[in-house]
Amino acid sequence: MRRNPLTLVGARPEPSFQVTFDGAPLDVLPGQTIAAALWSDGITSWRSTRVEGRPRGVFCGIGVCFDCLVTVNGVPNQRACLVPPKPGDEITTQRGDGHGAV
Amino acid sequence: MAQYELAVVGAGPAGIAAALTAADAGVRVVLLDSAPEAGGQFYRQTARQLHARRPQRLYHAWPAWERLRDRLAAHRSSGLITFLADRHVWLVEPGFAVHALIGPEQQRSETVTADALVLATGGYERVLPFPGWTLPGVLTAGGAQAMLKAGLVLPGRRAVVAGTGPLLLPVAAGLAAAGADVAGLYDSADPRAFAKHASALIRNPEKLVEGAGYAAHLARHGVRIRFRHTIVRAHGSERLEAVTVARPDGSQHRIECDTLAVSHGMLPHVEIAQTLGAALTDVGTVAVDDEQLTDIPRLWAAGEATGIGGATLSLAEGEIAGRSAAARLRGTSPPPNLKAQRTRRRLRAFAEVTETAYAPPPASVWTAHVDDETVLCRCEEVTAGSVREAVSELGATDLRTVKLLTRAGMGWCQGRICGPGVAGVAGCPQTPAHTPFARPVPLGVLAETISITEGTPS
Repeated sequence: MRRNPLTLVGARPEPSFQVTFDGAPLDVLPGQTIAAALWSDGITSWRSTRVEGRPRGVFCGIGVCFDCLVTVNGVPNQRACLVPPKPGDEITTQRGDGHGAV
Repeated sequence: MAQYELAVVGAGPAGIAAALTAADAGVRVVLLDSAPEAGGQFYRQTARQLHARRPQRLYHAWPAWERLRDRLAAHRSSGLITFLADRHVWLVEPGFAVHALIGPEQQRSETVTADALVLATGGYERVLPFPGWTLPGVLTAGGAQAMLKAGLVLPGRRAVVAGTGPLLLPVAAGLAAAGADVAGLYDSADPRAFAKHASALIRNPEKLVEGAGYAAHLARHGVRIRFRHTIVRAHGSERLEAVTVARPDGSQHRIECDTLAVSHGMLPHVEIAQTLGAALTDVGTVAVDDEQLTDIPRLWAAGEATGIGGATLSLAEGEIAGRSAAARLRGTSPPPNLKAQRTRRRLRAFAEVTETAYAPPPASVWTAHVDDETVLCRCEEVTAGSVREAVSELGATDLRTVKLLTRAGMGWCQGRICGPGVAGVAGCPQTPAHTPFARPVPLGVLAETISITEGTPS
């Protein structure tokens, strides 16, 4: 089996729970942030910028840069690298400033 | 409002050492950090619910962390140290009132007061811009490491690590150990620069062993380390597909990858010290004396905020600050701590060598690769072309004017990320931006805090 971070440190994660990302089911390990859960599913972008509509994801990874903003349960501008999701959360790609249609 | 003798902002190596040393002397300490667990960036903890049985595989100097962790736990049970996790300090008022937003949601603020304050706010990474650096898949080297340590995740399968600085080695080693295919480590530094400073290197053998350890680890994973190689472009449309690296002779080669972990050194977090009016050095770090005391009474600073130098130096500085704070709070002078002072002197000399040898390339070199379409300010999407126009057509000669003309640096991150890039392209000196608050604050919190502070006299 290919080595991965979980096997490297002998992790025994608690049972996963489900949220949705843009309507599709996404499994989350308790303790992971939204960004970590999305990365685990191979997703690296969850925002399109306000001016050019360009895709963005994690950049600084520690809450400084605000590039990884995402919408959770309709509330925009959540930093995916900091916020841990809760079971049933509806996570959606943030378009523009996240307030209404672009 | 909880009252303490000493507040310590930042629970990385410097902050923990300061809090422990002061508590050892009987001082009642409150220690605040933005993360869910103590440790800072160097000892950023894997989320508890992931139950890592061998966490030491992701860390250097794990036994030192176990000792800090156990001492912190003991002082927390005895009640001398109160640890407030998930607290994002946004304002400290003189005297000292520490205001912090709570949790990742950051919709509520809490205030603690203390007679003395140690700032151990750490640092964040500098990334010089290049075409394509906004593509998903391009991230800071420290960010890749933080996400790996905390969440046990990788950003992709095939990674390039590039930029310059001592951080690149452990990041590449960590990614490789965790199963990423590391296609190469490209550092723009010239190793010959180290040879000029042999004496400082020889006096710090553990640092050389640490570096050699990472290099050996990378060799085992078949990762090549290339010096004098510069990242010049990231390719892709919706996400990263490849990068181009320039060799010392100027020729370029393209490497397919889905991840680029990039860093050009570290910058100190100095906003809180600035708001309190503490003097900065000419390189933008918090100025401190032999006791780590700033020029503001009862305000100390330690760790990366006072100069980038690594975890061991931060521990020594934190210990010195904690000892000084404990003594000054009791109206006495701190007893000498020769061991910590020796360590600090030796490691500061080493840090000067690494700062020189790993200096980012001069602006004349890296800005040549930055075309007009390259976005410099990631928040406000301001291009290099707009910044150049502000200088050449509109006559801007300083960063503040460039910002007013282009909006570069006006976004969420308040110019922390784009500052070095905008300054380099504009040809202006990078002056620390004076921001009233250390991080964005909801207006409701601001209104509430002002009514507390200016409300009925207590």
